[in-house]
Amino acid sequence: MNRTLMLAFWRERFTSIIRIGLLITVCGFPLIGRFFVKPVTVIGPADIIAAMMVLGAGVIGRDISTGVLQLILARPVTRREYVLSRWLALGCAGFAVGFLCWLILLPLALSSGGSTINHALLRLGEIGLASFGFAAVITGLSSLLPGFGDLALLLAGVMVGSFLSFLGDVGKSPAVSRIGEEVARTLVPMVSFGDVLYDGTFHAYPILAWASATTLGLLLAIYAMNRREFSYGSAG
Amino acid sequence: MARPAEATRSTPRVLMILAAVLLVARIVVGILEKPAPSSDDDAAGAGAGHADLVTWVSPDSADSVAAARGKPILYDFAADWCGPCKIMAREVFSDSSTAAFIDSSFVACRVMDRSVEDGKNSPYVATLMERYRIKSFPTLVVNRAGASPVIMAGYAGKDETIRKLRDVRR
Repeated sequence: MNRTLMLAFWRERFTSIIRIGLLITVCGFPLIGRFFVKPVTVIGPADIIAAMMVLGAGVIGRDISTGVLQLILARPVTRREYVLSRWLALGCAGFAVGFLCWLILLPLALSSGGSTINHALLRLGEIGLASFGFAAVITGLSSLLPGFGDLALLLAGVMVGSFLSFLGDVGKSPAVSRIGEEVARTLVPMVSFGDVLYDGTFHAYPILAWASATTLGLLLAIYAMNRREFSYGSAG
Repeated sequence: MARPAEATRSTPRVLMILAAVLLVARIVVGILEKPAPSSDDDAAGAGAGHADLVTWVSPDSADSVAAARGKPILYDFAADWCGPCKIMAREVFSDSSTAAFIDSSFVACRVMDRSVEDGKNSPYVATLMERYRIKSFPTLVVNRAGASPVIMAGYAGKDETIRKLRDVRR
């Protein structure tokens, strides 16, 4: 990991007025909404996905389209190190935002009976896993297209997954439906500990699906970055 | 100073092996392991009892069933959109020993709020919610003949819920 790259990422993301405005919007409205639904509950992993999209949009793609990547890779930084630093920085940023929202709701959730401390801590664990899992997916997609193409790819993938699930449900084909679910699970990797410990027995699948999606996202990003060629010549 | 291309573009072998192993494990376990119900199933489960082991009676027949069996009514006020309701359904009502205790001690009656989805509740449900002043979900109400109802708003965890229900039955 490269600390300088991580710090630069945080500085860029958290000093952008547009991103901060969007971040407050996507986090603020759900938080306010929860205050009015009694009992109040802490946020879950699905609640941070929008914030992760705001923070992660163009995590690599923006560097490609603005020409920053050429400058970074002219330094003694390996491409793998660059990708992993970006992923870790985005995962930490997403978790920090999720933790803050979780912390704001925690006292109310505990006092209103909406969450127990064990339940709240499990939710925090789920937020952590979702942050780093989704960060890997965004990093992988961002390495494929410049600019904010990662969001377009994500949207297209989620639509394909939803369409397949719909087709499977309508055509009563569990296999097609399952493929659609797997696409969605891979693009938005989250773990529900309720699913892991469902029925009093341990279920490995939710954790394996998350770990598989996370490693595949990182692998895709490193592979795409290793294949990418840059011209250092002047356009003029 | 220029670094060799192999060093800057090194193949992440460990990550490749890990990703391959996890992908294979995911596929194998995904085929073999019985999945937990999805959130949609849970929503239905909160109302219809997918993994729910408690025997629920309908709200309009609860009074007559309770009178016939001589047991108090345990109302579970829930809603499809309510996360804690689903957690309670999963943790409390899907547990076989707890379900057996509830079935033997109460006439269990689930009352689903439909005001968000349909704009209003059925008159009978609306009357029940008005009678027990239900403001939040989940809320458990134990209605004992000749005694004031015991109202438990919110879900405070499986153990606490069972403890309260056992206290009520003493």
